[in-house]
Amino acid sequence: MTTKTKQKAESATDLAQAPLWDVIVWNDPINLMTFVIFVFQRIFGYPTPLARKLMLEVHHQGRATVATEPREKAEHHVHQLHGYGLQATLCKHD
Amino acid sequence: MKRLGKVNGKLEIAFEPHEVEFLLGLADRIPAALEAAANPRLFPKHAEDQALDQELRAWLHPELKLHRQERAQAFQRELHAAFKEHGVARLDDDALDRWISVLNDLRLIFAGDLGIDGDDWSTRLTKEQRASPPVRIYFYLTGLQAALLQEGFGLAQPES
Repeated sequence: MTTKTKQKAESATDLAQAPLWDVIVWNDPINLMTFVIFVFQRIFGYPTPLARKLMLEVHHQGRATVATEPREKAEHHVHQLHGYGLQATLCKHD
Repeated sequence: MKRLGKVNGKLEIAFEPHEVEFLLGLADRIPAALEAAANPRLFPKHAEDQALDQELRAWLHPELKLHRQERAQAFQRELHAAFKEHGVARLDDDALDRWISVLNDLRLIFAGDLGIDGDDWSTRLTKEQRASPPVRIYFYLTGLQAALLQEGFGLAQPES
């Protein structure tokens, strides 16, 4: 294996082993259900049935984990969710 | 608002002139509201962990504030231009996203002023409260946003 190939493999392994973070969306009495579905579709590209399922989980359970991903991506998605006016936080995945 | 339907992938909508002026005036409220950095609705926490929240807030708050300001300004420009020239707005998906999001910012602002604290808030309103201007504006913004979501993206309020 060449040095370059070895470095690439090590980097991919690091990424795969990087700690994951949960993106959590919290229920609130203001955002419309349809708006929440719309936001999930726009940010995550989720199909409508999945976006609706997550929205209903937020609505009925008070919160839902909408993504589990590396920290940088989770921070970016929380920032985007805030841009749409949703209550969202990130925390280390258990 | 009069919905004219989707033409060539764009949603066509028409407002009465007084409604255009009204919406432009409402959007003027956004810059001042964005000055309240501690507003939990406009600037929610990033994490339950306080140290992490403060770190992310310090880094991301200016960008979020600027994004919202620019979005509101774009909305006002588009609304003004559309109705000045044609009487009709033709919105592609990105413009619809922008308008829906600005309406949501306005709803968040009014919700804060009204002290909306639960899903059952509207059921607790008295007749007099229901007739008050801030409540009527909030319901108007809600209806308008719901209409754009339905007409623009086919999203109807699901059964809860």
